Amino acid sequence: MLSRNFLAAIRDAVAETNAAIDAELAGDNRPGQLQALLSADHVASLVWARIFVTTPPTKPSTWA
Amino acid sequence: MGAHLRHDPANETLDLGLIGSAMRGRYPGLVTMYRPVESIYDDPLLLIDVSKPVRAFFRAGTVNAGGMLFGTDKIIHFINVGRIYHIRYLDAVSKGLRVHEAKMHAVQATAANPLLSEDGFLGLFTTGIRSNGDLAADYAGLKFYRNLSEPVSIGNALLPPMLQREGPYRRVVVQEEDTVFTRFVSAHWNEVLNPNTYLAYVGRRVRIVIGSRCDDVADWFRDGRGQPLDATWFTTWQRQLSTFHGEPYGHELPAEHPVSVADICPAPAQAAAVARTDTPLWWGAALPPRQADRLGRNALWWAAAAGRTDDLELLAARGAVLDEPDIDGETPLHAAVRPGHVRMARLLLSMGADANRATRQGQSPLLLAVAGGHVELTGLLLQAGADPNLQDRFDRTALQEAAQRGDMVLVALLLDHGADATLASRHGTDALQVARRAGHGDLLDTLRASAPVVRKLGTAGGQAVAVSIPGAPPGVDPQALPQR
Repeated sequence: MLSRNFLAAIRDAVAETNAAIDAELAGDNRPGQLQALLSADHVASLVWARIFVTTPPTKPSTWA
Repeated sequence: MGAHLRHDPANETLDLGLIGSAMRGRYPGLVTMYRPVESIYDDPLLLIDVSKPVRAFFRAGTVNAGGMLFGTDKIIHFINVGRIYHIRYLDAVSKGLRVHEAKMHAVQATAANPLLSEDGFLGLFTTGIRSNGDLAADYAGLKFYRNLSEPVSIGNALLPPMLQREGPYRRVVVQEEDTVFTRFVSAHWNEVLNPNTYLAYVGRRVRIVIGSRCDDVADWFRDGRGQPLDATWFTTWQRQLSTFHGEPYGHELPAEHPVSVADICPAPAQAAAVARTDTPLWWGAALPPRQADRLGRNALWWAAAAGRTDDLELLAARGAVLDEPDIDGETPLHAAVRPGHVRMARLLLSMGADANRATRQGQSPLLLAVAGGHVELTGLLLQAGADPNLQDRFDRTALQEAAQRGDMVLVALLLDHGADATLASRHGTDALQVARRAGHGDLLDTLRASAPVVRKLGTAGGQAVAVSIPGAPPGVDPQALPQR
């Protein structure tokens, strides 16, 4: 169950990162912004944020 | 309360979720978390930690994940301190440090932090405890976050990155839904196996409490024959867990008389008896035939687990119940099948044991036999009438287990006895998909060829609804079955 939640967090974080990269490539390319989005730290921070918010024990309604 | 829960993943909140009605409904009859009435740390901590009187009501419970027992506080360490380690690791890498140097930097920099360190405000300073298990969970968290973008090793296993680069984008390639977290869990998190260090007076109190619980330890930790494990076994674990598969993670333990089970608990009485008399005793030998122990296991159950066929016949003659399940719903037949005792399983079946009885997790003896790779037992159970299409609580089938193992013999055996390759688990994966994901391409043709002509979709108006599957073998008329 925790593994499923962790995987969902990873998928969400990747989807958000890819969408931000898309927007960056389509719009004005701000200096350094694309590099930041491509970094290991960026995706890890999003994964952490999602796990922090959605880990089942912190949101019991998702356990059903 | 909802907002509070979503933004406060402390282990107190985590524990509330584990014992909540949703969890109890999802796993009826199962213990989702164990929390003793008296905490081992209550007395010493009440002296120095002002939060303890409140927190005493919300202590970290013990859970089982990936076969490992650990406190729920380890999950919080894994998620949060693991990420702090990761930030420091990346910072060190960006400054040119090599991977092993950067890992050490992350461990040491956090250890030097007066707030976060196990020696600091949230550790030894307020609680009197320096937890090696917490440090191991922190380090495992670092492995998890690193593994998003780079390969990491866990012992001899090299885990490929969970994400792959495709041009400027990332793609999630990790597929093992059930192991994304649990493959990072290890025995290091279990504080019985990986004991802590304590401030002197806290340690004295904990030593007394551990001493009063040696019988419980003997109950929980047993060898393959059901014998309580001795101090040597615990000492060996202590030594092994002092590093994370050879990598330092900040572990410290006094060389002389650590506050540990190995140092405190005497050798179990029954193990000592074996040494004295050289008599092959087995756990449960002293139980009357109709009496069960705290795990709900009677003497016959233990005889089955130990593969002692002579004792089984004797106990059955004295009236022991053949299919009496333990608290997990495992019968003596499950107990015999799990370690692969063919003679014992044959004897139980000949005496009338139920080949299709499921555990509380819904696992049939056949599912256990296949999961363990026991070909002869699998054949024996199928001949005895075991249903190859029984599904456990997660809707997994024996065929899916065989596909996961990549075992062509087991797959063929199950298919010969009518296993349905189209049955899917709760995650929506059937045996074909399991084999494909596990990289067992040699199984795919066999499984495809075995797909039945029709797949039941449910019922409508009391009549079965079915559809034909393209590529069905000739000679079968889907029209003969009720159609939607």
